[in-house]
Amino acid sequence: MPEKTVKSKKTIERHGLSVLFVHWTVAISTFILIFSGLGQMPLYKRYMLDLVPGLSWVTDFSITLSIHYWAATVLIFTIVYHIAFHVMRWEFDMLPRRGDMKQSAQIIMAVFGFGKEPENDKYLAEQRLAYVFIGVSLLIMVFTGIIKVLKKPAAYQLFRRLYLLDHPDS
Amino acid sequence: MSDFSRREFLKRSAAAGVASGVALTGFGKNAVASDVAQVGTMIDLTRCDGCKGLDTPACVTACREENKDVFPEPIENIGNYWPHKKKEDWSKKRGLTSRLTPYNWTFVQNVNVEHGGKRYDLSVPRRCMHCDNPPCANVCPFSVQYKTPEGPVVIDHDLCFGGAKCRDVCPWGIPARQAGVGIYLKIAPKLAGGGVMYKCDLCYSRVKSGREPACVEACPRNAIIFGEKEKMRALAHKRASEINGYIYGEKENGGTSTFYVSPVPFEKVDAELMKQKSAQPNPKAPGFPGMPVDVENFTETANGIAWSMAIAPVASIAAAAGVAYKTMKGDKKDA
Repeated sequence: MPEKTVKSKKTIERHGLSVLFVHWTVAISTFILIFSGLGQMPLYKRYMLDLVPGLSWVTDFSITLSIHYWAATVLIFTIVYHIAFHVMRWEFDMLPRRGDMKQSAQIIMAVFGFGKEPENDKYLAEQRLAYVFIGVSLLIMVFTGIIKVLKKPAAYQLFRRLYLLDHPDS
Repeated sequence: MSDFSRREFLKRSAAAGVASGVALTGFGKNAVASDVAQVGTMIDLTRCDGCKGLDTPACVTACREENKDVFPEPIENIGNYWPHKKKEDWSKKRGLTSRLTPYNWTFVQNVNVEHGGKRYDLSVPRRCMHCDNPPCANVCPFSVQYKTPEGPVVIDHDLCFGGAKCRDVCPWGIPARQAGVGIYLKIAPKLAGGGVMYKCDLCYSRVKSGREPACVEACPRNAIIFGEKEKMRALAHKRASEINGYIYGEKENGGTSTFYVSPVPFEKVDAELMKQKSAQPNPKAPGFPGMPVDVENFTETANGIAWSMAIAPVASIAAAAGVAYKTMKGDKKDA
């Protein structure tokens, strides 16, 4: 009986560059936003994080606010890219389907040896549900963040001008 | 992807654009439009003499009287700001008038400065400058500090958590904190929050009912003049050219609604104030502001970044359309 071996080391391409880009950019920018956002509370002076060598800058709001804004820009870019890209390609594999809750329970049970794991599509039922949960959470945060930016009078004026809601001279 | 056509692609692109378009144009339709003329003050340092002969300058007394009902009444045993072994409690020093405290929202600094071979005794009434683009209000994490349509920058004492961020970002360190009072006591007083911040609100309730701020009304020498902000600016320029003097507050922190006019360059006033500050028991403590000339507003950098934030969705859709079109035309299975 001939031995079965893997013929080549070629990996299976599950995701293209766009998806990888979105995945990692969202992950990294979200963590940067959490860190710089906690700094806005203000938390780091009270709990003396600035005394940790190399972190003296964390209590400087001019730094952490700029970082927060840049990370927000990246996150907004990526989220819009993600939605626009998949809508244009008409790809909705990640959206939950009827019966995903039940299937998720079956998968979890199967992990502990109860019952059989159901057939999966490209993504697991759990992954589709988690996607919506994370997606909605991020959209809420982006929306509340935009409101906070627009509450700054200068930023608000800028938005109005940029989207021509206002005559620049008015 | 074989059924993919240019027409279909355009249709999908439009669908993707609709949501962001609605979101972008829908914003801010009912936000405050400032139809109200903004108010301001002109402080003439050639007139102010710090009320020589009085124990306390008239503006300071009037301010304390006007705001006495708003002054904090803290709890008996105020806890420290854990893990620090300190707290900001001014309730035992309510009578202090030589600096800004939660019980003293304006005070007068006295400097003796040389300029052009002459020595000048200047008295400088100090309080919140009511900036055009106030960093304090911009960065308040709870959005409980804001610029009113009339111009004064005010703090909501009921919701202020006392993190003192507003004071950290104010070039003059104006807001003063009182511990043992405010909403933080109801949440986790040991772990978060520090009291409530207090500062001049330019007697906002008086301003709204068409009256002058208490300090202006009380000044016996008309050194503090109140009125429409642009008129105050013009008045400051007129006075400055009369005395060949200098203006402070017009450019500082990106513009304020307080215009000081002095016969002496403010660099010299600031240097003298810094000398006085360094001689104080705790030179680092806020509440004794200097007059740094041309001090910058750090939130302008952040607002500059807001540009890129505003452009991001549009650039993003363009990028997505480009990549999507390319990958689909090239009939790539998965992108």
